Amino acid sequence: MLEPYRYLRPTTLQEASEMLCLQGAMALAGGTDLLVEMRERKRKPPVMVDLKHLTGLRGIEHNQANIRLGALTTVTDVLEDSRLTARLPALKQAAEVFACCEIRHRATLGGNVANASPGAEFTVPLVALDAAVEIWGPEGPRAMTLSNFLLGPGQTDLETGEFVTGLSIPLTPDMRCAYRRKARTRGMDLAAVSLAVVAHGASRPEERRICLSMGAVERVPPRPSRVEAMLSGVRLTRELTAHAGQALIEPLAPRASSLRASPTYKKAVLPVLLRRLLEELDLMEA
Amino acid sequence: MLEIKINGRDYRFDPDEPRTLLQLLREEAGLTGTKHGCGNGECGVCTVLLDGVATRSCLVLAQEAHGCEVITIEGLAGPEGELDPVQQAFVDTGAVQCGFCAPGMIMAVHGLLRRHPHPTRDQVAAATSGHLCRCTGYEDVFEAVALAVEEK
Repeated sequence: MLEPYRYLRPTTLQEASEMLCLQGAMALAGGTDLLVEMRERKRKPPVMVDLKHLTGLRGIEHNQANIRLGALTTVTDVLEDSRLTARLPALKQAAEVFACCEIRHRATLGGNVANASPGAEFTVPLVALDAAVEIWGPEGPRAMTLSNFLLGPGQTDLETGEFVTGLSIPLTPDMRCAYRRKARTRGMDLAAVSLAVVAHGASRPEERRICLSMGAVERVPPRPSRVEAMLSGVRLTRELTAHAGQALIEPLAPRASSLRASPTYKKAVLPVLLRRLLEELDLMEA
Repeated sequence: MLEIKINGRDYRFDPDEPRTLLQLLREEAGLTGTKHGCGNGECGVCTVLLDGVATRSCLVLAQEAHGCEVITIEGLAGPEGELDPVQQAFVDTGAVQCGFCAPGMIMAVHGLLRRHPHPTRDQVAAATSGHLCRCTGYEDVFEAVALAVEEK
C-alpha cells in the first residue's frame, strides 16, 4: 500500500537539517495530511524525517510582546491553553472546527502552515495576525512573515534542508480577533470558505487598525489591504461594512473546480461573515 | 528492530517494512479488533491509544510508534475475559448495533476519560463526533459514557 521509505528520527536541529538534505526527504510531524497523500500515492517520499523527537519544539510561550507557538504544538495543545484561547480566540475557533478529536491530538501547527493548503484552518487567522514563521536549516535559523512564506498550494519558501520550528504572533494593545468558516457539514470537513478578522486598538475607532484574511479563495490566504484600509480608523456603520464586503469579494475569482463550494457561494458568504465577525467583536456602531 | 509495547506485551517487528500502525496491528500482531475502514482518518474505526492518547492508527507510520505503548480494544478486558467498564456500558446500553464502529468508539471514550474523568456532554460529543456510526446509535453512546463514568 505504501511505497518504501527510509524512516529517520533526528534528535537535534542540526541532524534534522542534514537528514532533510537527503534526496527526496520530507519532514514528518503529525502526519495527518502526509499519510493520506502517501496512501493516495500523491507523494512518495523515499526518506521520512520524523521531527517529533526534537526537543523544545512543542509548547506555547506567553511573552510580553508576542506569543510563540512551537512547530510541534498540537491543535489539542491550543485548545487546552486557556490563556492562549482567551488572548487569541481566533485560534480557539480554528482549533474547535479542526478535523476530529484524534486528529487534533496529532496534527501540529507547524505542519498546518508548512503544508500550505489555501484553506488551512490555522493559516488564515495566523496571516491576519501578522504571524512570523521561524525556520531552521543548513545556514542556521531565519524568520519571515507567514504571508511571504506561503507561495501557493503546497508551496512555501522552505529551501532544501529547512523546516519550520515555530510561529510567533505579535501582541498589540487592545487586540481582538475572530475566525469563522463555512463547511459542507458541521462535522469533520475542510473549510469551504473562511474569514479571519483582527482589530488592533479595537475600542478606539479613530486609531483602530483592521486586518483580514480569507481561506479557500486564492492560492494562499491573502491580505486584502484595500479593504483593511477602508475599515481602519473609522466608525463602522452597516453601510460602510456592506460596502467593504463588496470590495472584499470584487477582485476574487475562486477556482470553479473546488469540491466544497462554488465561486458564487463563496462570494455570497464572505460579506456576511465579515459583518458577523465585526458585530461579534463589538466593533460596529449601534 | 522496531519495538512496540502492545497491550502490555513487548513486540519486535521488521523496522524497514513500509506500513501504517494499523496494518502492523492487524497483519503482524494479529490484533484484528482494530478495524480498517476508510484508511484516511475520516471514519474513526482504527482508533487506538498511543501512549495513552486516542490516535487514528491509519494515520501513523508503524515506525513512528517505535518505543511507544499501544492499547487496542483487545487490551481492555481483564485476565478472565471480563469486560472493562466502558465495554460493559456499551453492552448494557445497547450502544453496539452492527459493531463495526464499536472498537474505535470505545477506544475514543477511553482516551476521553483519561483526559476528562467526568466529561460534559459537549466533551463526549467532541470525542466521538469523528466516529461514523451508520446504525445511527449516537444517543446510546452518550448513555454508555454516562454509565461507564458512574461504574468506574
